[in-house]
Amino acid sequence: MSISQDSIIHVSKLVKRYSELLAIDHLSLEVRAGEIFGFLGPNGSGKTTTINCILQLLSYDKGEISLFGEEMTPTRYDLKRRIGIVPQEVAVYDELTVRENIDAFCALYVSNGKERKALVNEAIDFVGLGEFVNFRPRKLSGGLKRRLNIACGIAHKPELIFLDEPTVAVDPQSRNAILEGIERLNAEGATVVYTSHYMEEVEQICSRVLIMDSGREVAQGTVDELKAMIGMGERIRVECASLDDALLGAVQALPSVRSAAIKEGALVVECTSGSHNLTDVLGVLSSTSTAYGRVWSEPPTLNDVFLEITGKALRDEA
Amino acid sequence: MWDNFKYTLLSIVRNPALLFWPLGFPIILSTLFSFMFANLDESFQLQPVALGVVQDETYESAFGLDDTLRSFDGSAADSEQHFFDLTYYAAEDEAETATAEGAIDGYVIVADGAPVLRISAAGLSNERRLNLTTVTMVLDGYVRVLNEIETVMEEDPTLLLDDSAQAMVAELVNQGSQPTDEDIEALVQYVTAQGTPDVIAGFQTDAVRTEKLKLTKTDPDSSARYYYALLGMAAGMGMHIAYEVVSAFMAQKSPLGARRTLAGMSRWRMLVSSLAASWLAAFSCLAIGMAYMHFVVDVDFGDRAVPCLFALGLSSLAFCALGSLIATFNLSGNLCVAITTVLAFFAGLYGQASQRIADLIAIVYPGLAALNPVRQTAQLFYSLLYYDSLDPYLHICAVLTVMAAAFATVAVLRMRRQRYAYL
Ligand SMILES: Nc1ncnc2c1ncn2[C@@H]1O[C@H](COP(=O)(O)OP(=O)(O)OP(=O)(O)O)[C@@H](O)[C@H]1O
Ligand SMILES: [Mg+2]
Repeated sequence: MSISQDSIIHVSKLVKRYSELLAIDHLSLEVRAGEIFGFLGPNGSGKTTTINCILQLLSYDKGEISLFGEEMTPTRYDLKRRIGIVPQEVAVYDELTVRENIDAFCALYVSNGKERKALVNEAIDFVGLGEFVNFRPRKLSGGLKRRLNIACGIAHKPELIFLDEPTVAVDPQSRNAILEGIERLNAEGATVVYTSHYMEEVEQICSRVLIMDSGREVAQGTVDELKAMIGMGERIRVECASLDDALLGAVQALPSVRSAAIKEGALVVECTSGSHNLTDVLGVLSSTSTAYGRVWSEPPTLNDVFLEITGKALRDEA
Repeated sequence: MWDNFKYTLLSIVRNPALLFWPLGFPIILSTLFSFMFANLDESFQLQPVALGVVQDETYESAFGLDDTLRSFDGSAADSEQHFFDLTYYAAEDEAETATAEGAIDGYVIVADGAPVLRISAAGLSNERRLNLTTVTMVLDGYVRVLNEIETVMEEDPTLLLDDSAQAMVAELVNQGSQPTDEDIEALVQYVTAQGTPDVIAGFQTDAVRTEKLKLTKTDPDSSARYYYALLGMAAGMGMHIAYEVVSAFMAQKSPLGARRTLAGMSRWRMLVSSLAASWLAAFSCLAIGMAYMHFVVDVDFGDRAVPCLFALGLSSLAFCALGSLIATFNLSGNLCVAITTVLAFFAGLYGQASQRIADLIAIVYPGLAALNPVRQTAQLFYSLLYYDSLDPYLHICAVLTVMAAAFATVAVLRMRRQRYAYL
């Protein structure tokens, strides 16, 4: 087993069973220093289980796991101190205020009180909980609780941060703030493992992505690599006044068109990757003198990648 | 570690549900106990009995009976000994009428050579009936002393005489010749003039007094015992605090536990700081409970308040360690309450039946009883109050220390395993 110099997480052929259920099936992955590594998969695909195995919270049946180039065991407190965790479920002390909570978690890593005070303040600003520092968690809304959950995991400025679906139940505005914050942490030097089933988020911030399904790796690579893998270009939608099979046939005959269909009064064309797909499609419409209204052109999404490989949608488009 | 201690303590103090058992429980129960025992004490408060005496010839001839009764009459006795207010009647029917009218509670008459108490069957409250038992006791004591004297008289009558009378007898016997009539007359006159000899008088009051103490005062041990067992139980309730606190860093118990397991603090540091916080909280509850018992309920802790507090500290430490150990298993926190409740039964908290079972087990299986920390705690208080020597106390302290150390050690050993098959 060779581990590259800047490998922060190295997992090799991990197998984890929950009695009958095979939750992780020979999963291998590598996270390098400075990456934002995305873990993408539908519910129950094994993202959380993988993280818990990496962190030695769960026992596993097979596989090798090393962190920062060293073998990870439950008692490697030196390694644990370099890690920050934002668990999927909000896990904070109900009896402590926002500030106390952040300080209590930070104190598990940083013992110097003065240093910690600065870190806690920074974390409070980071998640924008300044007005709520004296609130107890039960008085916070779901989204604010999530932000507290994040602050508790990152206050001690870890080198490696695991964020397990941190944006669930967070409004779009705060979600953007969180994503930007994660990019900022990354820019400051932290390596990030980011779990989500919102592919837009993953696409937006992750430098590399692992897509999993049913405990198995579906694909791994940069977003562009993944998209190239399925050879899909943009999806074009055109509102047309009238549509007929002849037109459809003409569109389908274009060399760069993978499929064309009529959906809800619009022409939907999926193209292979190429540079002038939109011009080609619109050219056909003009040449048949078909009047058309609005036009959309969407680049392929990771959902398309997932759909392409597994034959099912990553998540309901809601 | 200090910060973990601080925040753990803070989270305990802000959780009223955690403090209810160890703090509220002893205060509420000891208040209840105090009401229960107060009623009991009142019913045992002696009210002097309005007692009639049928002063006929047989009464007059009953040796020392009148003296005995009078010694408990209000006119003669001090308040401790004031059992009766005597009224004399010349004949039984007068006394009977007075009883029926309620002027007296009952009357004493000498019949067939022995004094008996007669009361009207109806119309007596339980309380007054209870008071009348003192009359029976005094009469029983009198009869016993009388029998005693008769026996002595049969064996060596001179023992009944006081020193100077005995000297007179000895002189008469030793002078070698037959004593003259005058000599004997002088002796008889002397003895008669003395009235009831001291020996007999002493006999009478002793016999009655011991009886009185036993029957009329609540045994001082019996109520204190409940309070001590209650403190032991409260110490046991403190176990629940440690359980919750330790559960909060057990990965399989909660997301918070999982998160803290992933932190960069070793298990034993977590345990020590959390145990210290829960112990401090539990001990403070107990100290407050004890202060409440002492100052409000008036429970006697003797003059050894410091070793009493130390006893509480040690016993809550043992319980907190046990609570931590339970938290390392996949067991509910209610188990802590259940365990304490059962242990308290075997420490005799639930009344006399449970006390008897507790004592029986202590005799038959002393080892088993020694393993009951609730009982040990109660015993710690006993040992402080009823022994002059500190040895038994120190012995129990040693037992509790060993328990605490054993529980904590097993807990930390179990905690070292942090990888779970399921979460
Ligand atoms: N404690 C457990 N016991 C048994 N099966 C479990 C347990 N925890 C998870 N699983 C199963 O393991 C599989 C992977 O679960 P996991 O929580 O890792 O998925 P996930 O990708 O994190 O999903 P989500 O997006 O819903 O968080 C699922 O099929 C789940 O049912
Ligand atoms: Mg998950």
